Amino acid sequence: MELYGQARLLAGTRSVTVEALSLGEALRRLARLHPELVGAVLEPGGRLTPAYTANLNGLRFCNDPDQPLGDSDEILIISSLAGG
Amino acid sequence: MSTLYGYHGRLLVVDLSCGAWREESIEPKVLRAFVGGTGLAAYLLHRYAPPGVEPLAPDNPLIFVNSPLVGTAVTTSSKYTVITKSPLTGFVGDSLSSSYLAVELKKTGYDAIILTGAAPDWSYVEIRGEGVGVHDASALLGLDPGEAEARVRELLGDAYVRVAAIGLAGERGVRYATISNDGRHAGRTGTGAVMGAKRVKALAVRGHLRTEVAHPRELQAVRKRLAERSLGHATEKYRSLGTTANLSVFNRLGALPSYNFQQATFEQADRVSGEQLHQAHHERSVTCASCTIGCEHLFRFGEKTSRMEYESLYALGPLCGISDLDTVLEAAERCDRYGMDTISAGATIAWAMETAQQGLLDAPGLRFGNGEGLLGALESIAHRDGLGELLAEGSRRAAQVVGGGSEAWAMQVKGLEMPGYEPRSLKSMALGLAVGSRGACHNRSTAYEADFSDELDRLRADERRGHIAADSEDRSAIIDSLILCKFVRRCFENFYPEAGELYELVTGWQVDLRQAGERITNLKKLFNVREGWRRSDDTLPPRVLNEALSTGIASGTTLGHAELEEMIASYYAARGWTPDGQIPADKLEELGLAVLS
Repeated sequence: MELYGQARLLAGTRSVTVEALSLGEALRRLARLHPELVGAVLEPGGRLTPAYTANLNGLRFCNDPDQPLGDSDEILIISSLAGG
Repeated sequence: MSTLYGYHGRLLVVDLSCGAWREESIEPKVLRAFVGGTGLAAYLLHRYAPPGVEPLAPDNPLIFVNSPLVGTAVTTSSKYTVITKSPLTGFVGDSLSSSYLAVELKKTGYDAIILTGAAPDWSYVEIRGEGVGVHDASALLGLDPGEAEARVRELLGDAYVRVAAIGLAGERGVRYATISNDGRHAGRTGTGAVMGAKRVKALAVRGHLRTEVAHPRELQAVRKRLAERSLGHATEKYRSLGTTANLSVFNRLGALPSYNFQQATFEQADRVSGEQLHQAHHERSVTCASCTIGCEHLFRFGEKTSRMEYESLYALGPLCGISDLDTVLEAAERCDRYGMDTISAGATIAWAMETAQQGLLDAPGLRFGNGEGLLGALESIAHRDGLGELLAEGSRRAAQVVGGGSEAWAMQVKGLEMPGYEPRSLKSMALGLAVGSRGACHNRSTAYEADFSDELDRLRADERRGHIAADSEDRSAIIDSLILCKFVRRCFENFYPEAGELYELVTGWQVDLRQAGERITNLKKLFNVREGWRRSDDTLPPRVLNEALSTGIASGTTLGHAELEEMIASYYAARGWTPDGQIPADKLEELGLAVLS
């Protein structure tokens, strides 16, 4: 998982590796590894707050927690406020 | 006239050639039709600019326009529009700025101030509710806008007067010179050059009139709701890192134009990212008047501070191959000090870097990645000396002079240099950039929002793009006419009804804002057609249409001529225009624009 913007600054890291079969599971694991993200970036249940969105592999935006993930999938956590 | 709420129903015309001034009324039906801000500005430009006027000629009006929300304390509402015929594009040149000047402008009792003619000598114009003064500005020449503001206050003996000023770039006629106030800038299209052509260094305003609102108690409730939402998730990016957060994201998505759009990624993006900027340089955040968001971030470098937004970071950073943040901050600070549009300056210099590299321009220090070359170019542009004489004309004109095929890499549309959105990997934005009335603009079209969503595939064009681009333009037109900051756009759950409610609470008028937005966008197109727009003006630079992306996740992606033409056709159809992009008579009639055509 790649973190951008305030998510990166809060977590103090650019990326986090988790094992997960779905986007929802990945976000829940991220919340456990980086509880400082809960509130601004993640909701307690493991979903992203409205301020953030997920992008798969730099190509497709997706916020479905049931989105299945493969071994090499990269999830980008970026601001949902596009552009300027 | 019955009581007006939110407006004064008057404008002021100042003829600088003789110092005379007069007041004129603005009919309520005009205010309702065009709302204020850029909408009313477009109407007044159409009315007061003689057809075919040369942008730097005295007859080209420079118009400062208020809006109904100014002075109501609605968050982000302290903004004004300045409009003219752009010396860069020859088309509509409108730009917004923010903060205290907007509030003071409203208090003068005028909805708009029109400067016509040209002063015989360098002057600054003083406008108070009770009259106009035109004063000698020789003591102000060469000052940067902030210094000029302070000096005008001293000269007038009034610490409360608010001032809009041009810097050296405006004095020297740099075609992308800005007008600045309170540390903010009306940045794009060269309004500062027109002010300089009129030999007006500064506009000082001081007023005392209140603007009444129709339903103050109900407005207070809506104001509070909007303010609360503006402190939440809907504005998180702007309050935390600001727009500079875009750079690392765009790089990852293969949408960060670098080396004059030769690449869509920048190898050293990490060194100039928003995250790095914050960690290494952030000093504090400040707000405009009446703003709860606080999006303006100031960064320290050495003994100086500079604001930084994504567009400046991109244009003075990766676009020119610069990977040193101190250099980018210095460059941005110089643009602000001299009063120049950072996007046009950066993109024109990037053109020059590539042109020099190709051996078509004798500029040994001007190479991608050379910070000294970048800073030196900015100096020479502002002073219009040496190579700066050419670069001050903008990339389109400079390329026309140099020739040798360099037009192919002048990254501009209609003469306005491109913002930091790679069109080949953001196909909705590509369309928005191609068809925009003021040229390649990321502000009048927010079509990129669709590209950054799960609505569609940003790398593949389709027939939906036409409606997306048209709808985003119309919504932006209303936001820019009310006026609100676009950073508050997500605070509306349902934009048109809520914006309509806000407008009605202030003015007492029920207006179809969706149709008003369409009217305003069409009016700008009407003006452009009158001033010589041709079908071939809606396009993108040859580099975009002829070269595939070479780097990043979208490497190999193209945007061919046929693909763009298809999207443009869908846009014209969505607008109800003819296939060659003209507005038909029935559409003009429908929008109440027939009388202007």
